[in-house]
Order: sequence, then structure tokens, then C-alpha cells
Amino acid sequence: MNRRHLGVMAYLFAAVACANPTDTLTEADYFSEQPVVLSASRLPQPVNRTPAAVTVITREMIEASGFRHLVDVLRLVPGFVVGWSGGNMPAATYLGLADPFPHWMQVMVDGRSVYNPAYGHITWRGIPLTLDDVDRIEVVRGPNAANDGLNSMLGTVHIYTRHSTMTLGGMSEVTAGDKNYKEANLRYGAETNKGSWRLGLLAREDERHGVAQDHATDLQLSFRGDFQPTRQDGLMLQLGISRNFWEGTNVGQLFFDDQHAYYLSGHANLLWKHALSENREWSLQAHHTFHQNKENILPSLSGDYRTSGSGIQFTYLDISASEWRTSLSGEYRLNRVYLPALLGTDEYLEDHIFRLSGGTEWSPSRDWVLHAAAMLEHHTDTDKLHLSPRLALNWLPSGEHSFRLGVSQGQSALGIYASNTDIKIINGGDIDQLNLSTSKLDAEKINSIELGYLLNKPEWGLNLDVRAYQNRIYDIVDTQAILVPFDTVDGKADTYINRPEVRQRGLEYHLQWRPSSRGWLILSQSWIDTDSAQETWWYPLSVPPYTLSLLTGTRIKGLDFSLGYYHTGNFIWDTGDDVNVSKYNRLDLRLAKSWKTSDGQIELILTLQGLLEGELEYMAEYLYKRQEFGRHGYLSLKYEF
Amino acid sequence: MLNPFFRKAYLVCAALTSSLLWQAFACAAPTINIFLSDPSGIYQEAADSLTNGLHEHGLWTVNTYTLDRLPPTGSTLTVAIGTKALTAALAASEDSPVLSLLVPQATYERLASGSHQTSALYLDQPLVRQLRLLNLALPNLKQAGVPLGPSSRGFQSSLERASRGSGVSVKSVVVSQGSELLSALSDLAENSQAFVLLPDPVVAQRGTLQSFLLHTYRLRKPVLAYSAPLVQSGALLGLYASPAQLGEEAARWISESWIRGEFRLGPPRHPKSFTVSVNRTVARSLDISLPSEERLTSQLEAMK
Repeated sequence: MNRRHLGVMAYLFAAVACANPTDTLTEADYFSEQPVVLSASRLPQPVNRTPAAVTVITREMIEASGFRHLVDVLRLVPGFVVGWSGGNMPAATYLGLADPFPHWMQVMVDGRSVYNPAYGHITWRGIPLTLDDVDRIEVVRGPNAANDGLNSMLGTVHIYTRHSTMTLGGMSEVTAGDKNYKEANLRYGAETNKGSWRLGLLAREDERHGVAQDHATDLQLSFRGDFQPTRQDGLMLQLGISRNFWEGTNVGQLFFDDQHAYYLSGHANLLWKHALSENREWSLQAHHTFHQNKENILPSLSGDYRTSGSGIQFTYLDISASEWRTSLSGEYRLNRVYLPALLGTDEYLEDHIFRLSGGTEWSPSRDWVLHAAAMLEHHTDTDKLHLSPRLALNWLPSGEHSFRLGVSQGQSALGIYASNTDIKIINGGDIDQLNLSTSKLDAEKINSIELGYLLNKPEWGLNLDVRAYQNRIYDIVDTQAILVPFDTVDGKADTYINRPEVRQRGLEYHLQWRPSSRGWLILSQSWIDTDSAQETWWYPLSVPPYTLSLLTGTRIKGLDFSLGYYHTGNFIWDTGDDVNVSKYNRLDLRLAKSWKTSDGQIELILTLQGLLEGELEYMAEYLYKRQEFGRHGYLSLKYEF
Repeated sequence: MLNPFFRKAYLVCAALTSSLLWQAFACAAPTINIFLSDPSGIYQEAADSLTNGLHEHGLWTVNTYTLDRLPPTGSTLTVAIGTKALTAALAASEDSPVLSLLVPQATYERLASGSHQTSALYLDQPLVRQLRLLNLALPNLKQAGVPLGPSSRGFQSSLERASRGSGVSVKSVVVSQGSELLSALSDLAENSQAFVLLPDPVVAQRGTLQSFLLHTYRLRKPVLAYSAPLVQSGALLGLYASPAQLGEEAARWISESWIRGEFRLGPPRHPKSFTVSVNRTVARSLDISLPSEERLTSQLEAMK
């Protein structure tokens, strides 16, 4: 190497050594391949091209609402009601069937169904998921069984957590409030060469009503990692565990003063997405969730249960053709339930579920979109094959207006409990049979037809989503008294049977208005009219005839101000023999102020809830005391760095 | 009629003269040394296009060199393709002119400051063209948000000029580290209908690009980016010149600059050629109706 070469090499070395790598920009920054982000995702359609009505609850709305619990956020969706029992346990339902185990609604967290296979309901408090984790919630209003399978009968709640790159760095938040409310929330996230991750910890203690038994503690740990091993592949791993102690109940009803539940749940969820091209991908998802409950329903009757749900799902998506979008999916799921006191066996009962689904969207022109989808599934528990189809047509005469006509069928998985119940109290030689299943039940079913209208006026900052629908819900499961010869106490027990039908007609709308960058408003209303056959007279009572929610937010001189108002007409949370009329008339207020620091941001948040009057929540007369959610105040200090 | 002897002599003389003239002309043809950062990929693509273009536009002697075999000093012109080649060429050939190719403007200005014999065909597209494209694609556009970092903060004054030239209002925010980016985007999003992503090691590094594109997608704001891979990754629009386009344009520039036996390249400039690309999947997801890439290109060309 001659002197000239040496000189150049020395110059190059010096140039490289002296250059601050964060300041050096080269052609590699322009031409190097980047990780596929959106192309590897199943991109949602614009709401005016979807086959069903979808309400999207954004992170902005979640924060502005000031709600402390995830389930409360659903109040922002037209037709939804949320109730809390004595025992501080929430339940949420859409278009009625308000009971402690509403099972006509599917809830999925990042594609993982979280229903409890024992009773078919959602144990909201036991999901290791904080509001800070949530990116957005998409609520499909109307049957969505063609996509999400049984249980998606009245609607589906899809909760999407934040990508771990959105939560890099640390966060700590402490909150204190009325009724002994204490919460600490910690989160830390970092990135590596191939991805990013975050770890979250939540510790919470509260008493919702301050009466009877509703002291609850929750301890939750969650992890999410997102990795991009190659340009075409994305991996997401989620792990979570929740340990809870609830002075109350986790089986729906409180029967005695010292009733309490120890609850443990955990999950693992692995999602692998592979982009075949910009517009074609497949994904493979494997997950496992378990629930354990330790509780005495009566001093002599255990309500202990252990359940698990495991699944593996393969999905193929092709949106390469401009007119056609197609998805195909196959899934196997195993639900296992151990509930000896109520099922009359010490063995695990199992339900093997096999699902095949497909959907296609045909858009021959920009004005028209036709959707066809169906789910075929087999449950070994009932040895039945279920088909859930859907057909929808969107007409988009202009960018502002669009119309949708849809027909669909849905069915509910009853939970293993309903077909296998055997509850009896044995006291010496006496046998008191309380409940006894005598036959395999049919799935509850819904036929639905709907008409939707969407208005999009970006120049006004206005979006309106209106839905009118008619539902026929049939084969509804109810109890019926039967004679039981071996019952030595009264010779009777309740069994479960399929009842005839109810019919619903309803109108609902969801309006978003953002007149300027300074403020916004979300308004939702629903009107529901329910008729029933004589045998299901109780059903209409559990349907709120009217709901309203209003959330508005603005920023004034660095202060975030938001106001939420929630109202329902009278309805009844069906809790067995009790008849408890509930209604809301609730006003919430949130004020937040943030300050920049040298390395992050500090935020102080004041939340006031229930400013108008006590909200009558379900089990209103528990232990002869009114279960009212009165005025609550919370103060939070949050530090993000 | 010529005597056969004279006719033969005439033909021989004519052949000899032609040969001598040819030799003389060939000796006077300038030598162009193409100096590659790497003899493959984008560098080779640009070099091939440059070589073909030069041969189309004139008679040149074209030699190719790489970092392990430096071009000789005293050549008529060295075309340095890539940052490493430019760095080495500037160190080696103080006297001969250098044309920089495939190097971003900011990097070129830092490396070549004080060099009088150099010029560049920048890798970057002019900001005014970027804003015009955004305006063509999004008729309701009033303001574009531009996050800047340590490397791109110097573009602030250029952005203001481009804003005046395009009629698109621009708001920029400077972040010093990646952790500030998302909150900066949220601030920008308040009054901006779209984002312009400029190359910057902090704003657009591999680790933050994922969160950048996800965040803008969730804000429902389209992004105009500066490369094809970024469009594939989730930006709505891309405006860039390919290595082949840059090589071809450099060849045209070189041939036009050869005046009276010397190269008069003039000042560095942005490329005239460009490619517009659109991610239709993102457009559909954001419910944005876009003209075809060809239509956007022709409209943009008409505004030159």
C-alpha cells in the first residue's frame, strides 16, 4: 500500500472515528430495507366499508373518561350497560341479558378470547390488563359470529394493546381516592436490535360502595414483546398473571356474610405474522389461559373451580387484488373445566372446538362493497355443528354518505356449566338437589337484520354512525322446576331448558364531533324495544330501553378538561330471585395538568365521579343495603420518563 | 480522372489523415473516473446507468475504481458514488474535480465544505417538490407536520422557503432523542393533516421507524417518505430518485458541462428526476382516494 493509500485510509478512519454516529446520514438511510409494519398487520377497513357497525374507543377517549376500570369504558358504546355487584365484581352487556354471567358477547384481547369457559362470562377484574396497556377498543355492534365464533352473538369487544414500541421508557403512577382506593402502576419498556418489550405491574385495592363486602385487591403482572426477526416476520409474545382477593363473590351471588374469593389467572399468547407480500400474509396464533377460583358459595358448598382455554389458529389474508379481499381461518380450541361442586364430578369436563371460517369482500366499484362470511364449528361438549353466516352490502354514493344492509346469524356457547349442572347440598341423610341438567342444550341463537348509515364530514370534523336493527333471539336458556324423586327435602330442582324467543327492534347512533383542534365531543344514544313470548317474560326487563353517553374534552391553557355523562332507563340485573331496578344518571369530571421535566413528563390528574347522584348498580338490595355508586374522587400522579 | 498512382496515394493519405485525426480526437476525449463505495447494489446500479448515459452522450474514456483501487490523480473528472467514495475522493484528488452522487445534501455539505472543485447531484428530493406532491395527493391539506432531529434541524429555513413555494403551511418540531418523538408527533398532529418524514438518524432510525409509522397510522395522518422501503413499510406516499435515475441524470449533466475542454459543473443541485410511489393498502385504510402514480408524476412534472 503506497503513501497515498495510507493517507486516504487514515482520512477515512478519522472521518469515521470523529463522526457522531447519530449525526451521520448516508445513502444507506435511504435505501436500506425497513421492517414491514402496516403491511404485516391485518389492516382494518374504514368504518364505512365494514360489514357491521363498529365503535372505536380510542386511547384519547379512554384517558379523558377518567375510568379506573377497563370494563367501564364500554359505557361509551351505544346500548352497553355496566353493572357492579356487591363484591365489587363488574359485568357488562349489550342489548340486555343483564345478569351476572352475560355470555352473549365475545371479548378478545389481541385476538385471544378471554371468556371463562365454566360460565361463559368475562371475569373482567381478573384480566391482567391495565388501561395504560390499551391502545384502542373496537366494539362490533351486532352478531359477529361469522368472524369470531360462538359467543359473538350480540357483539364483540376487540381490545388491542399498545405495541411495545409505543411504551419505551418508564412510567410510574400512584392513585388514591375515596372508598379506600389505592393503586400503583409501574411500567418499563425498552428496545433491542430485533424488537422491543415492556413489563407492567399493577397493585390495586378498593371498596366500590363502602357497604357490605366489596373490598377487593388485585395484583397483576404483564409482559408484551414484539420482535421482527426478519423483514417479513413479526412475533408478538404476551404473558400475564393476575392474583386477586375479593371479599364478595366470583360466582354471581352473595349468600352469606363471610363469602370471599381467591382468584388466580394467567395467560400466554404468541402471535406470528408472516408477510408473503405487501398485501398477503398468514398468521399463526397460539394461546393458553387459565382461571382458578377458590370460594365457598355457602359454608357447606364449595364454588372452587379451575378452567383453562387453549387454542391454536391459522389465518390467511389476501388483499392483493383491488376488488377482492379474502381471509381464511382454521382454529382448534380446548376448554377444560373442573367444578366438582356444581358439575357433580371430580373429573375435568372438556370441550374440543374445531372452527373453519372464511370471509370475502368484493368491491366491483368504489361505490359498492359486498361482504360474505361464515363460520363452521363443531363442539364435542354438545356434539353439534354450528354454522354462523353473514351477508352485508355497503353503498357509498359519495365520500360523505354510506349505507349498509346486513343480515347475520349468531349463536352462543353456553359454557360447560349449563349442560352439566348437578348442584346438591347433602346434610346428613338429606339431599337437597338445587339444580340438575337433564339434557344437552341447544346453543342460543340470533337472527339479525340491520340498516346502517354513516356520515363523514371532515370539513365539519363530524362522523356519525347510525344503526337500526331487528333481532330474533331464540332457544334462550332458562330454568324450569322439575320433580326429583331422590331430593329428600322438597322433591324438586331447577333444570335448564331452551325457551322460545324474544324480538328486539332498536335504533342507536354514535357521533364524534371535533369542531377544532381544541375540543371534541362523543355522543351515543340507543333505544331498544323488546317483545317476548310469555315464557321469556323476564327478558325484556333486563334490557335497558334507553342509554346515553356523552364525553367531551378540551384543552385550555395547558389544562386538559373532560366531562362524561352516562344515563340509562330503568332495567333489571337478573340475579335469580331478586328484582333490582338499576339506572344510571352519572356525571364524571377529569382535570389533568402536565409538566415537562428534563427527562420526561409529570402529570397530575384529578377525577371526580358520580357528581349527580348515586348510581344504582346491580344487586341493589344486597344485605338490605342500597348498592349505590356515590360521589368518588381520585388523585393521580403520573411520571413518564 | 486521376492517375491510378495518385489515386492510390490519395487514398493512403486520406486513410492516414483520418487515422491521425481519430487518434488526436481520442486523446483529447476527457477521462471520467467512476469511483464506487462498493462494486455492487445501488452503487453499481448508479454506475451502470451513468456509464451507459455517458456513452450515449459522447465519446468518453470511462474507468471504474473502488475503495481498494483509488482513481489516479489528475483525471478530468471523478464521479464519487456514495459517502465513502466521496470521503476518499476528496482526500485523494485535491486538484481534479469531483462530482458527488448518491450522497445526501447534509452529508455532502459537511464533507465538501471548502472544496472548490466539487459539486453534487444530491440524493434528496427538493422540499418544495415534496410539499407540492402532498398538496396534489391531499386536496384538503392545509398544513404538513415535519418532525426534525439533530441532522435535519438545519432544514428549517429550507422548509420555510419550500412552504412559500408550494403554498403548503409547514409546522416543524425538533426532537433531540427518540423518546421525544411520539409526543412531538401528537403535538404536530393537532393542526396538521399529514406528516413529511425527512431522513434523520433520530427521527427515522430503524428502532423508531416502527413506532413512528404506527403512531401516525393511529393518528390517521398520512406520511410522505423519502424512500421506496418506507412506502412499503406503511408510508402513504414516497418521493425519491432511484440510483438508475440519478446515474442517468448525472450523465446528462456531465455531458452538458463539458465546455471548451473543461468541466463546468456549477453548484450542487437536487435531482430533476423522481419517482412517486403510493401504498394503496394504507390509502384504503385511511380512506384516502389518490390519483394514480402516473398522474401524480405528470402533474408534478408540469410544476417544475
